[in-house]
Amino acid sequence: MSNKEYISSGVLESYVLGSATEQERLEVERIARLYPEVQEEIVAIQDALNEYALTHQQQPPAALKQKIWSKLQDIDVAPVRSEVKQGAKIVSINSAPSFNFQRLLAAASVTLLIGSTALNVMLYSELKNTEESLTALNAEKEFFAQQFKVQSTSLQQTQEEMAFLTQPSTRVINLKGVPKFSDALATAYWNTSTHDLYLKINNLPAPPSEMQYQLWAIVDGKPVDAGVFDLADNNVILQKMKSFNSAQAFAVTLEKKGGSVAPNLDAMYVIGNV
Amino acid sequence: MVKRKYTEPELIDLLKDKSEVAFNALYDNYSPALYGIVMKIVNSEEAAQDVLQDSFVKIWKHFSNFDRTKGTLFTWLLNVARNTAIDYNRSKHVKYQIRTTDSIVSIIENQSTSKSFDHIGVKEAMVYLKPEYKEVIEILFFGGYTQEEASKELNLPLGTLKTRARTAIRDLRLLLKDKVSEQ
Repeated sequence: MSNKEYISSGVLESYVLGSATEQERLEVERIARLYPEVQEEIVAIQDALNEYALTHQQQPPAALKQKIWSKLQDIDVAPVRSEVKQGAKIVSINSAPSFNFQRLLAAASVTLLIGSTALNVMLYSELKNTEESLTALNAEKEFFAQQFKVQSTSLQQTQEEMAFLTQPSTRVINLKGVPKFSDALATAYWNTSTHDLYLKINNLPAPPSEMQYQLWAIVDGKPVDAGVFDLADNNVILQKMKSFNSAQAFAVTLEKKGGSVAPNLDAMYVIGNV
Repeated sequence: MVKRKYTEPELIDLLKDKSEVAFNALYDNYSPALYGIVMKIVNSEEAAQDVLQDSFVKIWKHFSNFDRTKGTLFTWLLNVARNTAIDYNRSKHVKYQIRTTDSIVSIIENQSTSKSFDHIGVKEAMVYLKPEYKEVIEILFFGGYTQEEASKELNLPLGTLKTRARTAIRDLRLLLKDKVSEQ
């Protein structure tokens, strides 16, 4: 899933609303840490909901402020009270312990504490491991989803090309190499009812970097631009070119990058009549 | 927006020493917003005061948990107050009452009584938010329902509920954007 898709999936809205599941929440926070644009979107949603919440604002009763402040002082003071002042001597209340039950209890509780701490450490490290493998699995899942998408697109493209090629109105025109480039070969597929034109490059030498191949349709004796093309990667079998209602021949020349208005006939590689 | 004497970074810095000055700044800046959201959720002044107090206790004790990379201080404070209020309702088995019309009523109230809030413009803008969208924001954000619970409560398919939540926030953002560009 791309960030754009992730942003529009609705999961960020439910995260900010607080209605996301625990798993979604962890996932959102992980992705937000990785991608600033996702984090920005979260903040924008938060700001909108903050504004919405603010429409309900109202003054609390005046006396509440002092009441809350006293309460806060209590919690701040509490830990200080239990601290033993420096220099103060602790005297045991129980002056003559014969069988010290308290001491036994203390020992037992220390043992329990050590045991439970050890258990906590163990559980915590297990939790960490689980979290790590979850993150790894999620990353893997995303990778496979991405792969699947690439494959589906390529399959769909192939199916469309297949459908085009097998139509009865699709003509196959072999563009053969001129004597200077006798090895060169290309094939034009032209559908005379839809007028779509596709090109397959069977064999053309790699062009210099500032040059590009250009396809021409010969219409009523004149060359008309049918589009420039690169030697495509292996994934693309057919390249879609411009559409033509009528044409008597197709030819490929090597032109400056971006194509020319008129073909350079000295650099013609292949030609074929319809 | 709330009138703020301190900027957020200044306030965050101030809060580290937990002084009375820090409390005053925090309270003066945010208590109307926090009290408002709490009142909205618990719908009783007495309960709202208790919940606001509990919220400030949590804010005070757990301020170190605030992580500014996840959102603003205001967002964090609102979430603490909101969650405390939602927990209060749950503990009392009180069901959240959706009131999508109350903002219209309170606009009129506010216009006549409370001139101190400069939030009336946004309130007016909220009238344009469709009731079915407002309802979804209310039940999820103020009611603390999960999406599954909300879909049962509102008798909507889960997919519809999710779409509405997303659209509701999109519309809310558009309305607020219009609002800002008007000013």
